[in-house]
Amino acid sequence: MKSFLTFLIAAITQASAFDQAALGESLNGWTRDGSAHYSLDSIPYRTLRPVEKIAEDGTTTVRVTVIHRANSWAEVPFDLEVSISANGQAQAFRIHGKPRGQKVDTGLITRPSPPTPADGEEAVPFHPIEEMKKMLFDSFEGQVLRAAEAKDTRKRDLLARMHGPEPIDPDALEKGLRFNLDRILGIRLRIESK
Amino acid sequence: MKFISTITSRTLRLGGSLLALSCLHANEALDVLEGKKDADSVVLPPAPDEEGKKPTTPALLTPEWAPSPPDPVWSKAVLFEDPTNPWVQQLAINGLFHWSGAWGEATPEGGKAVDLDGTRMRRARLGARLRAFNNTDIEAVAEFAGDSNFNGIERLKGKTRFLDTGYVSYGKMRPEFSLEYSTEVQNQLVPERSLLVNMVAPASTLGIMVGQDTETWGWGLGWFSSDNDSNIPGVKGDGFLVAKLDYESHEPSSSGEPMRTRWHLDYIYNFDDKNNPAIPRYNVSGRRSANGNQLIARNPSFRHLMSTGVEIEQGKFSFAGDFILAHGESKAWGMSLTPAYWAIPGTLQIVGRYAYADTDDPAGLIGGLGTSTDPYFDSSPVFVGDEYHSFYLGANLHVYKDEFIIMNGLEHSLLKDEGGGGFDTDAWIWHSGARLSF
Repeated sequence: MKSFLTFLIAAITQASAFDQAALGESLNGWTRDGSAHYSLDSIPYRTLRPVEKIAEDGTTTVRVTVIHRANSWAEVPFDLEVSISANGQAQAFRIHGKPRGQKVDTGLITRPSPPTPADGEEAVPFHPIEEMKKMLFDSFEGQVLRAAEAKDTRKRDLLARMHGPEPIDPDALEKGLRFNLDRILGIRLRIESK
Repeated sequence: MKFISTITSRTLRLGGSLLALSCLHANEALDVLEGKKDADSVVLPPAPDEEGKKPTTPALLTPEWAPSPPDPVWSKAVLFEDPTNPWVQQLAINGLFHWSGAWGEATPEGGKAVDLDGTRMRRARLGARLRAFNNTDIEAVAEFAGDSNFNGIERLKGKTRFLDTGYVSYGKMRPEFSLEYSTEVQNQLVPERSLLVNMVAPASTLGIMVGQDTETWGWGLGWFSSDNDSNIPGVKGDGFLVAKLDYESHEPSSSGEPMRTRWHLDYIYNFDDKNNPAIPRYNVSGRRSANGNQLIARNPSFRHLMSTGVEIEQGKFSFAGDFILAHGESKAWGMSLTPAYWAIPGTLQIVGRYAYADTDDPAGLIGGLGTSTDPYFDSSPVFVGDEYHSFYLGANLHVYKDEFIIMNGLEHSLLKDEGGGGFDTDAWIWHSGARLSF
């Protein structure tokens, strides 16, 4: 009976592969509503607690919802996914959301292979994470700009119509997502160094 | 042998060329075959879309709601939320206030006119829900239904999920039967359920149900007690069995717009058919009808209840059609057809409903009109008949999402009483109401 209870408690309180507490600390701490509230250059954001998924090959995918508080009542959420292999390497990034009912999805941006230098040429420095970030935010920016200009396809109640649609600020959205991505990557690296 | 092989390879080459050219202009293909033109010089038309799919039309209306100014206030109902907490993931309070008013008159043929004017707090509910262990939802709701005689625990239930799609529900809950009765009050399009549903629906009682919900198919099988207690019911009588089956599909319509279709079949077998306080959930035996003062000698009783129907949602349009059959010592059947259209998406929805009920029993249909259509909730006038038609047309103004709605509509009801005392009843009723929930 005792061993069964130990097993049950261990199963319920399964250890997390990702240091959620460290992420929360870097974002002013997790609050009772399951999110962390913080500001970047006076722009208010909140991030929901991460959801983790571990694949059979040991790859951990961390998903956080980054919410930009567009005004006093409207929030614009986007999901940021980061896949990290068992050996600690960032393997893929993805951002997706539905601002104003329009689908924005960068798809999986996977780790690129280093370019092969031509005969006699020296290999140029290659930073796969920076390349991935560039591809991710280039794709995101283009799509979110289109979404901001498209017709709102969501249901809008009477009060929402009276107050008009929430503003979509691509720069503020990118700033919040980039900040969270850097925090996640930083925490992962700290874990590896232990 | 070599000759056969050469012929075969030439035939295959020719076949391949013909296949490749099958989508070319006929003259161009003929030129190639006659050797006047080189096959390589012909520009092939572009390949069809990936996997031959038609390009999908962007949705005109998505199910999501745009943010609204009261969002920060409504979000306070969630007291605690942490999906990573292994013990408790969410704690929230919920409530429902449903005010309704009706103005009209029922005129029984050869009888006294019945005034249907009235306003009331139709429902007031307050409760809490808890999500624990990542797989269990516990819900407790108390109901204070205004000036009616029902006050107590509306539900006290748990639902535990297992093996991804399986679930077991337990406690005091409403057995899922028919589209109208299984739809939560805050999501109903018409202020009141139709007469037949209120007449045959089982009570919220103690039960257990197991089932499975996949992306397409769902099924459930359960047993419920025959007790009908406004607080905590016990295990009484032989109870009743509930079985349900449903199928849901999400496919683009012919215009390419996403369309959701859900079909369902619900069945109840009542072991205590002649003496089950939970089916039906009211007792009008010994009362007199408002049309013609006819004595209701016995309460309806049913052994079998069956409901099947379909729901369709496509863009601004939705439709729900349901057929109900109740069979036992009493017999009744009928249907309801409920189309709805978003005139202003998310703000103004036009709703219609046609409800029909029939029986072979004299005065075998029992129900109310106006704000008191449900004989379960109070002692307002009840009407009897053997054929019922109701036409409702209304508009729902969504002030705040589905949480604050102002409903207005006009209903014309006809209750024929040919097999009884002949007091056919005709009523025109204006409905106004408001529903607030969180």
